[in-house]
Amino acid sequence: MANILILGVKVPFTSGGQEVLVRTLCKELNARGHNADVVELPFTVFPKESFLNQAAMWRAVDLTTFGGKDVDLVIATKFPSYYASHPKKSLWLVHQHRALYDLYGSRYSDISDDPRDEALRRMLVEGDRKVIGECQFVSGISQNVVSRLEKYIDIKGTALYPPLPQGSAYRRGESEEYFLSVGRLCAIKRVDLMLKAMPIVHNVAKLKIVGTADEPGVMEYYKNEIDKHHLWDRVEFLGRVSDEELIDLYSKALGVYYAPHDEDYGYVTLEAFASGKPVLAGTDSGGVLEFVRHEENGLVVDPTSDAFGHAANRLIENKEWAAQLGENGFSFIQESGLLESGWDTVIDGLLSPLENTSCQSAVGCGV
Amino acid sequence: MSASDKLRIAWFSPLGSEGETSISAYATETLLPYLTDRFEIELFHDSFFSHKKYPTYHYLNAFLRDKERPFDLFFYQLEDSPCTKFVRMHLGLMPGITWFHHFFLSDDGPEPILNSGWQDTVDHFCGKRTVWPERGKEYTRPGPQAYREAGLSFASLFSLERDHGEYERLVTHKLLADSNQRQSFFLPLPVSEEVFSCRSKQSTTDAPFRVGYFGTPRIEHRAHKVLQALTEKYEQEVQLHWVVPEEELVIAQERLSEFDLDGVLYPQATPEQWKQLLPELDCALHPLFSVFGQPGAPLAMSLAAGVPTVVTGFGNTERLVDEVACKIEPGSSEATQVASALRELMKQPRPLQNREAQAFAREMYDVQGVAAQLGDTFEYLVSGEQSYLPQAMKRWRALEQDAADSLRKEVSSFLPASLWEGKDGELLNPVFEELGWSSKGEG
Repeated sequence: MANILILGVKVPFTSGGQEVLVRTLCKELNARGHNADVVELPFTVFPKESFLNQAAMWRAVDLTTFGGKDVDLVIATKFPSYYASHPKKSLWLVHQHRALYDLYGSRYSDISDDPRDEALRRMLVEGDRKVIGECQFVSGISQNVVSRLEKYIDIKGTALYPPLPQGSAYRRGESEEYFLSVGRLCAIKRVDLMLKAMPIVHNVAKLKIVGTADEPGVMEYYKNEIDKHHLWDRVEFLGRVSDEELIDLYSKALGVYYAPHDEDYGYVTLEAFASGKPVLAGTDSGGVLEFVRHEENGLVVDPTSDAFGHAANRLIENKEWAAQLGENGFSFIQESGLLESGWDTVIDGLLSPLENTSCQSAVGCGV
Repeated sequence: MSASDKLRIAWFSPLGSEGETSISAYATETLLPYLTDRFEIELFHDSFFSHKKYPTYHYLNAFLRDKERPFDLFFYQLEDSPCTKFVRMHLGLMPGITWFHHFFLSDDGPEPILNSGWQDTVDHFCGKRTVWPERGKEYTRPGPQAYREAGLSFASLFSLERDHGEYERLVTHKLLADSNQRQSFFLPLPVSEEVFSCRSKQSTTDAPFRVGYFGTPRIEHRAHKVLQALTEKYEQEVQLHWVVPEEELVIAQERLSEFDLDGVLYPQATPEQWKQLLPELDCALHPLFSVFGQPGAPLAMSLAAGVPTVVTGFGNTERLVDEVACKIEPGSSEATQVASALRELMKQPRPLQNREAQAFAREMYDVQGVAAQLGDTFEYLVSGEQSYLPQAMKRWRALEQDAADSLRKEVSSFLPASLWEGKDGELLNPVFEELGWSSKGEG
């Protein structure tokens, strides 16, 4: 039995996949006889200059002993939790601060050409290389996350897919005439593309949106679009819903829209498959594409409203085919090891530093 | 300078497939074989694939490579294309020598530079201001010209004389505005040796008169005028060979139908494609009527190959003398002028070969000459008698230091002073030092 701390990052007043992942990992570790707990520090993306402090705070906290108990291992998850210092550190990376890496130079990054921003970027990139490089075990929640790590800071890792938190609770139900979107409401999740597709989607179908706003002004923007396209009766914002309600919504959806820009992983895809529903994804949706196959268990189209509108219509016009795509997704999830049983692989990897003292990662530079 | 005494150059350019149709990628491919013996060059681009035998890195790793083994200069190529957005970003982070293939840029560039305070950065560099601007200050882009990119360059090269003139006339706000030394040069695009001799085996035949046309079906490339000209009756049968960007192929087909013309379309608008066509052409058409864009390497290749060439008498091509290219005035008589030019050429015996154009191209575009000029420019700027680049880069690194110091002040202002000073300062200061984030911790 080992004393293990899982290091989580909490953005107050929001919740997302990372919180679910941390909570579930803790539960699974305790179920296997370990003494696991979660340590979280608050995190804010504004102002960006405060990232250095927030990272330094993690590093300044002594995580070696609590109440006379030595901590045998810490498991870091998300920027900046991996700045924590401990003799035995595993990383199960949700993501780095992507605005410094793959989102740099795009509309999703606020790092400008101001030399102070460049100084910030360089400090954090070098910091990441150092503190991730000291982990005894490096992994990420998808191949996409692990590939980014290798590409940008030349540290190799293993992809360990998080199993579904409510594994067998999902159910397949008779489809009703709506598409479901689940996730935080922010630019990078691109819920607006589906919303703006609705005018060309056959008007028997509605769009139900689960999730809360994660960016200033985003709800106003969506509401403007709804007014502009007269979609008052066709788009429904459900906000945050209970686990049971969510399972019910999945089970009755005709299809699930999930097309973020270069997503890390995306529980939503797997939840949709577990509910026997096809997924509408974009060709640039990143980790989502590790599971969704075009015309096999979903539709992968150009990330435009037009393309999503037409894809949605294909499902509406041929419900048998839509159901077959969903069935294929269901079969995939059954065979994938991403239900509860998949936790053994994840935990074996994350706990490997307890048995192995050699450093897995190699830090270098370049491609 | 590197251990081998060769200048170390960080060369930023789109490469291979990502810049398939870009001028920068063409220039890089053509010039590198003539420069790698003389310089130690590392390539940087916006992707992760390795390029041929060259050491290749993602551009976001440039500062790490520079830290490991400092570069003597950063070399950028810029053009009006999304594939050089990363260049627009990075040349503001570490200025160097920028080779402009376009000076008019049709978009604002990557989003993080939409609200760029580059003028303040330039002023800071020049010592005209000592305080960094407040966060959140609004800036706007002054016009379609590449003012920011030219302003943030230690030296600017131009592959078009017209753009060089615009730069000298318009750009005053720049990093070395106070210097008396020359900071801008004209450097034409290179053409490989094999292009000069590609028509040596051309045979005289009774085949149709083959017209090559390199351009989009859009108004600026005068497709409507060219196709109208081709609908006229000629003494010889005319065959159109149109090299068009793949994404515009359908529009090109529609244009041909509209004018009831047949033509062979080549859906890959690359210099390589054009080179393959040159040996068989009787005439090359390179019309362009826009301040944006340039005819690029295909025009230089047509002249080098000695193919009789028709251009628009506007902008840079206006400067070509009549012996080198036939110039068409844009306007209502454009199609008639193109038709007349074709008729004139048909009167001459084949094979048609413009020796004056070839001589001109040899002087201007010969790859060995262009590579030598570029190499000489690098050396002039870095290690020549009047070199100023090392000093300028040193000043830029001091500016970076100043920016980092300013950032640290901002950072410390978010937390109580007690966490940074006195006994409590033991909490965060050691972390900043360990991570190299404090002045004390920097290597």
